Amino acid sequence: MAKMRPRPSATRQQSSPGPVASSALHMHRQVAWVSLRGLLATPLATLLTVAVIGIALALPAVMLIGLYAAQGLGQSWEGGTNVSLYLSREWDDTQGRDLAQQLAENSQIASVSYLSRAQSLDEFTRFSGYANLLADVEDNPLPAVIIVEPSQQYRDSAQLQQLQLQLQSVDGVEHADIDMRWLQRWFELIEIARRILILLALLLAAGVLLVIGNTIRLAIDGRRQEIEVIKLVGGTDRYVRRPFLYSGLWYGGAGGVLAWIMVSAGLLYLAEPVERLLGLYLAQGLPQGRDFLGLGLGLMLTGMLLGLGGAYLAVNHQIRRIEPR
Amino acid sequence: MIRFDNVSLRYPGGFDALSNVSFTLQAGEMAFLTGHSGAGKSSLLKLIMAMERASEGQVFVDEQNLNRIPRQQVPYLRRKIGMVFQNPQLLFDRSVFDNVALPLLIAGIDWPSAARRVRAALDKVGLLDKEKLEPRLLSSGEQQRVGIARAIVNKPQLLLADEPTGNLDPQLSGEIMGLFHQFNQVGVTVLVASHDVSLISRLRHPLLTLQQGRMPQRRT
Repeated sequence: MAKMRPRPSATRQQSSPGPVASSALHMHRQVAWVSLRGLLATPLATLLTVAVIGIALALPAVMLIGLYAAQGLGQSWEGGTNVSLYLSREWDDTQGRDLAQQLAENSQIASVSYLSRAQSLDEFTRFSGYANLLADVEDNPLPAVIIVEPSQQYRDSAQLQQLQLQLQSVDGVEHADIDMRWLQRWFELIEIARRILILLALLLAAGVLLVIGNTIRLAIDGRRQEIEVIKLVGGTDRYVRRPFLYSGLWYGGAGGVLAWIMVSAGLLYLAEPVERLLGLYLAQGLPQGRDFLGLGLGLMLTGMLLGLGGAYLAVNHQIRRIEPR
Repeated sequence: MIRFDNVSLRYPGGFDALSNVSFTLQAGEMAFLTGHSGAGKSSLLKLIMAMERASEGQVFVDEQNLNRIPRQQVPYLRRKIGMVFQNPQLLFDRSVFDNVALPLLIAGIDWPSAARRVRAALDKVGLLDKEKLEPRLLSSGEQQRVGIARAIVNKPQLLLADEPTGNLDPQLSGEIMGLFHQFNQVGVTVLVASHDVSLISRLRHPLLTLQQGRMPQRRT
């Protein structure tokens, strides 16, 4: 204790509102420091607890990042939504190409691409794996397709539907289709994943709460005699509680930082192949730069909050049971 | 300072530790609480510390009715009281200095004056040169004196002692009792529980005698 003597009181009083506040601040600082030293005195046990907390926090964080990335991916696809025009099979190639050229001049349309019946068949056989099946069919059953990409201003869903109706009535167009349904499915999937994530995060948060609570409970058991003496010489419940609450804060905060390190390392490890596979779309959804700082701060604060909560539950439960005899 | 009005204390299970005990100890007085072991001396002290609550009757400490004291107020009551135990209840994970400083830290006394008061208390019990030692390195008489220093460091109005000389040889016991006498001389109310009749008869202080939980009369 003599080692931790504070600065002379004259300099302390200059920078603080008053002797009461300064001694409270000093006391908090001291308790925080003492409880930290207590944890560092048993590094292995502390590390194990922190690791459990870190993993429990890292899991939902990774899922959350994945979710954001998936959402970003969906949004980028949403911007690329096309209208497919299936042409009448009576029309020949020239008519189809003429129509495509005509449509390309429309201001609502950014670009068109024409797939002849033969190309359609070619693509179908390539992607479906039913090559053999179609080889037996004499006549090509597939229509020619014009894929219309709406111009930038006409990409929200209401305008898309209007465009679809408009194109539906164009001569030679049998059917106009917005490639939207699978995108809706995608967002529905994301919504399901989001809810699973919330449930999982709640479970893991409860786990962190219990782990910290149990650790603190053991610590309280180990300091039973000290608590009794403190109560005998006039220590309030709050005084007894304080170092354990700080321990909870340290555990949780350290767990949050560890989770941050794990998540960041994992993302760095993944970033390159993900970018290679999916281009910039997904990579844009991944956190970078300042996001990383926010992520770290969020994880640390979440950990501290859970640590404080777990410690509070444990201490409150135990503190009334330990009375001097 | 202390007033018991027909106080009984019955422990769960039906054991009557105290029955119908009445006495008064004025502020500034010093008295000995005597009786065989099991007569209820410790129970009586525990009632004063609010470690137990009276089953019947009223306990007053410094005009405060302890039957009605809310749980949150108990620590503040105890800060007015210094208590010395037969087993001095020291914390072995910290130095003598830190043991004695504990009540001051709890009370939120700022560090410079706390350090000054710890040294004054240690000086009083003659252990100033041992402040940096761990309690386990001290003899039992010295440990007891550390306990006394801790009890008086907060300048309590009331000093209680439960068999403070129980583990000590006669010479050390005499020294310890001398300390209590000195504290009384400067105005502290002192109540010492002891069954060491030969020792306490030498000091001229009133006796409160317990016999199987009863206090037949107060001899002054």
